[in-house]
Amino acid sequence: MAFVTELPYRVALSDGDVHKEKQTWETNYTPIYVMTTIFAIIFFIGPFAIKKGENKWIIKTCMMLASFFLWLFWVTVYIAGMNPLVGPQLRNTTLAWMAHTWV
Amino acid sequence: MGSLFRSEEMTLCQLFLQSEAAYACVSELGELGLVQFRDLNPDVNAFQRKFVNEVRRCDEMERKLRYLEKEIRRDGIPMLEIPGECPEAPQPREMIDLEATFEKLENELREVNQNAEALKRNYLELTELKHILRKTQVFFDEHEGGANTTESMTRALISDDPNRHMGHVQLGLRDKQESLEFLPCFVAGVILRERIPAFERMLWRACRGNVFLRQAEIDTPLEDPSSSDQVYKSVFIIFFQGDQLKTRVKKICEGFRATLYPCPESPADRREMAMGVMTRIEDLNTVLGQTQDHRHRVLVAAAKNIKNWFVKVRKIKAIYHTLNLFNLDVTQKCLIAECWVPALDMETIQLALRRGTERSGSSVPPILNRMETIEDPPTYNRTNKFTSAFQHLIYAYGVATYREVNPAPYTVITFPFLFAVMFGDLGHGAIMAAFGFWMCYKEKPLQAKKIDSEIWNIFFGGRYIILLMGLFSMYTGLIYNDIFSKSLNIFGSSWRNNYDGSTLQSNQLLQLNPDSKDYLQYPYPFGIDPVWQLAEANKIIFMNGYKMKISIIIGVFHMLFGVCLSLWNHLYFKRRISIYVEFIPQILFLSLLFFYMVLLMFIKWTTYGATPGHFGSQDPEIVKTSAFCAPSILITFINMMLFKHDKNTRPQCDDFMFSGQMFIQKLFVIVALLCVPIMLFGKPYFIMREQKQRARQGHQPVEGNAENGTAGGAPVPASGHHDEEITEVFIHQAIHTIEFVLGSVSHTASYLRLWALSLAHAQLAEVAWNMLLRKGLMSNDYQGGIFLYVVFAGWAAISVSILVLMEGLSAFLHTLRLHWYGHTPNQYISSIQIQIQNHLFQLRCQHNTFLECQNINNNVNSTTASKKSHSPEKNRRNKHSRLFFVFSQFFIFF
Repeated sequence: MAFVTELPYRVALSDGDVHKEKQTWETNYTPIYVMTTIFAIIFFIGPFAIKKGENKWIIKTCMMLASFFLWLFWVTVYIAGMNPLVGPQLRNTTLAWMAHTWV
Repeated sequence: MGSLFRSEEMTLCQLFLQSEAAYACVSELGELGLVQFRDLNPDVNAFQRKFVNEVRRCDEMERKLRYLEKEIRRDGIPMLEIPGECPEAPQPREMIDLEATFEKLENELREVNQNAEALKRNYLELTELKHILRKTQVFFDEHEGGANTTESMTRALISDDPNRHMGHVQLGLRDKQESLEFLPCFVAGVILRERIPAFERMLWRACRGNVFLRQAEIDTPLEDPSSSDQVYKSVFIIFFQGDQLKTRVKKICEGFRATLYPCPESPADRREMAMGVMTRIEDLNTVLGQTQDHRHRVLVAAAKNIKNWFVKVRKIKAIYHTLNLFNLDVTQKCLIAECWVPALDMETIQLALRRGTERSGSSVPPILNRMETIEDPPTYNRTNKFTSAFQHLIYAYGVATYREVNPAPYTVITFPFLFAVMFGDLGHGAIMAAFGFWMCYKEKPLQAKKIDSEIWNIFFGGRYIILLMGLFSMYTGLIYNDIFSKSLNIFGSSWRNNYDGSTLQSNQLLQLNPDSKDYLQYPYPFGIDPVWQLAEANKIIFMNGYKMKISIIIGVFHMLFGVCLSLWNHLYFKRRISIYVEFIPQILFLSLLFFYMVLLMFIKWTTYGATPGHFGSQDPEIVKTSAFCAPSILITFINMMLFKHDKNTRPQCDDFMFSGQMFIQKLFVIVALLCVPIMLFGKPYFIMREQKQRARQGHQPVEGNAENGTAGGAPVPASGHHDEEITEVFIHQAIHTIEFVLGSVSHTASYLRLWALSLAHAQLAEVAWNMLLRKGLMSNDYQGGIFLYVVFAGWAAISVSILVLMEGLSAFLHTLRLHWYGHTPNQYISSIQIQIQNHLFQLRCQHNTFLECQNINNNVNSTTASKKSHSPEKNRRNKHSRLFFVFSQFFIFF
């Protein structure tokens, strides 16, 4: 496995006060609001949009069930990721590449 | 309401049909497929029913058709599929025409076949003779061209002797004088090649080595006339002396089924015979060809209509079988039928009956009467092409009792969703969705093709399921961030590298710390962070923790949903007591234990973690909510159930997650445990009370009706609900409770298969990528290109066959299990009385089969007729088997 000798990256100092953008440490709740709103619209308002058709009832049920379970799945992942207890263990090459590309 | 929510309302109707109109009316009803007829002659033997002759005639016709079909298939003629709609059932008078046609066709075909066989036999004989003549020429030539001194002798000896019918050949005897007396004879014939060694041995042994056998193989195989097999034969010629040997040789030839042919000994004769044989063979060939042509023409003409005929004959048979269920009334002019009919379809049925009477030209209209009954009607769920597949998944577990809530419509979403949790891969999901989409889009052309393969029919029947499974898998694949084992970084990862160059150069593996600036303190907005796919050793550890939790969360919600459905059943059947002593304890038990565990998971996720801005702080308050102090939920739950309190090994941490936790947990467990005796004894107690009340009121029948107008609301059920024995009630309830309690634990744990299968899928995908495609992608130059081309084929084959097909089938099976055992039993009231599937009388063509005439075969003596008398015993038997099953589960669990 190759060790990279020259790394074109920013040097991160240990006291960590050199950053391009200002760090805000408030928890960002925007994704929760957005996704919950989307799924809530499908769950609560969607059924009223289906007016005609002989399969009204089953379409409504499917919409509600689907939106609930999909939202539940997403929100569980999000909340699980909000406060991770461990971080990933990565190879040094991967880390170097991360430092280079993920600015 | 005629929807899938619960099974339809059925009415028992009595149908009076005039005898002339009966056939046409039943035909119309069959096309509708909405009626289930009851057998009004259950004690009558099948051979004593009224229309048994017609059924027999139909059987004959079917036999002839099957013979025709076999012949058509043998010749490889394609049979025309029925274009468009299936043909209607023909009128009774058409039946005679059909019979005559079939009879004619069959006779013709049999005659042609017999002739062909005779001709072929002839042909075979002539061919064999031809070969004999050719080969024996060789034998005789050898003797002629031999350099022994007997050469001239043989030439002299091979003369035309009209007195002997066997040829004489000199066999190389030194003594010519004596040989004249013992002139050898020969026989020539043909035998199967395989039998030659045994034949030779037998000849040698029986004739003590005094015969001489020459044989030569026939190169081309010959056709055996009766079996149409191609067999290899050999020509043989046996030389011997004397009559005794002659008889022996002949007997042996007969025993080995060798055919003997007269072979003239002089070459001139042989040549003449050969020419004669050739001309005869040619003639025979022509005749044979013409016979085959004629046969072919007959079969082609039949092949055009044969599917049509099959359908018609089956329809006639079905109609007569149904007519056999009817009763003839006293005046012998009218047929009486009893049938179950969906209440919403009464008008449709009336119309059909009117159409039938008009078609038959009868003047008397049929009468359809509603009948009051106390029996349990059959369960009928009206499904369309989309929901029928899901309904069948549920039917495979059991059919709900009449008017119970139907679990199938929810399966439309939960089944693909649970499958997707196990399958979660965007790429494979896309493949599956594309396949499902293609099948649904090309539904009509594919259906019209009527492909015979059973596997294809299984896939095609579940096309909507496959489409939905694929779509949901794409969603879960996006959330798991897994496309062919690679992750997508759409929104920007939340992890950064903060190690400097020298650290990176000196360490191969480094871990990022969320309690630092490595983690941006807000999660990836949609799904799992893409960095985790790159993680080396702890990817699986992290994913395990996450996936196990999500499996339990989904499982608890799914099971709670199932239990909630039973509430609708209790409300509908007006069992308010059940709500208090069954539904509420069940919900409490599930929620207080397992939903609480789910809440603990959410609490752990939100309370424990890094505190932004105070990374690595030693402040005791901050340490208490750091990752160091995060408790294990499993241990917490186990301690909660066992009322144990572990010693605190980490003094900086609190041993509770929220204040009051210990007290709440103890309270929850006690309440949950209290629910068990309520479930166990509640319902039997109330039933006992009811029975005592009824017994008391039954003794005062006169005053009862007037004053106590509501002796329990509904009229006293003098129905099939005769008072059950009280022990039966207790056992019934005990089984239910044990099943529920043990089941809730066991099935909650079994939802962990959602985690297990998704782990397996992810690992398989990773192995396939790393071992195959990666090697191809990393190769260089032109050879690399070709190598990649080949490797991609291998990777794609493995992806589709193992990951999509095999994993898909596996996940399908597990999802089915989760539905059958996790969801449905919580909801069925009396899963013990699992009803026999209703058998609608349907004449419509469905899928690949001509008819779904389910009424014909076995359930003619349907249980509905004899159900009342049999149900208690059946219940008791079923209950004991259930009890055994529940206890075995108990042991398996521990």
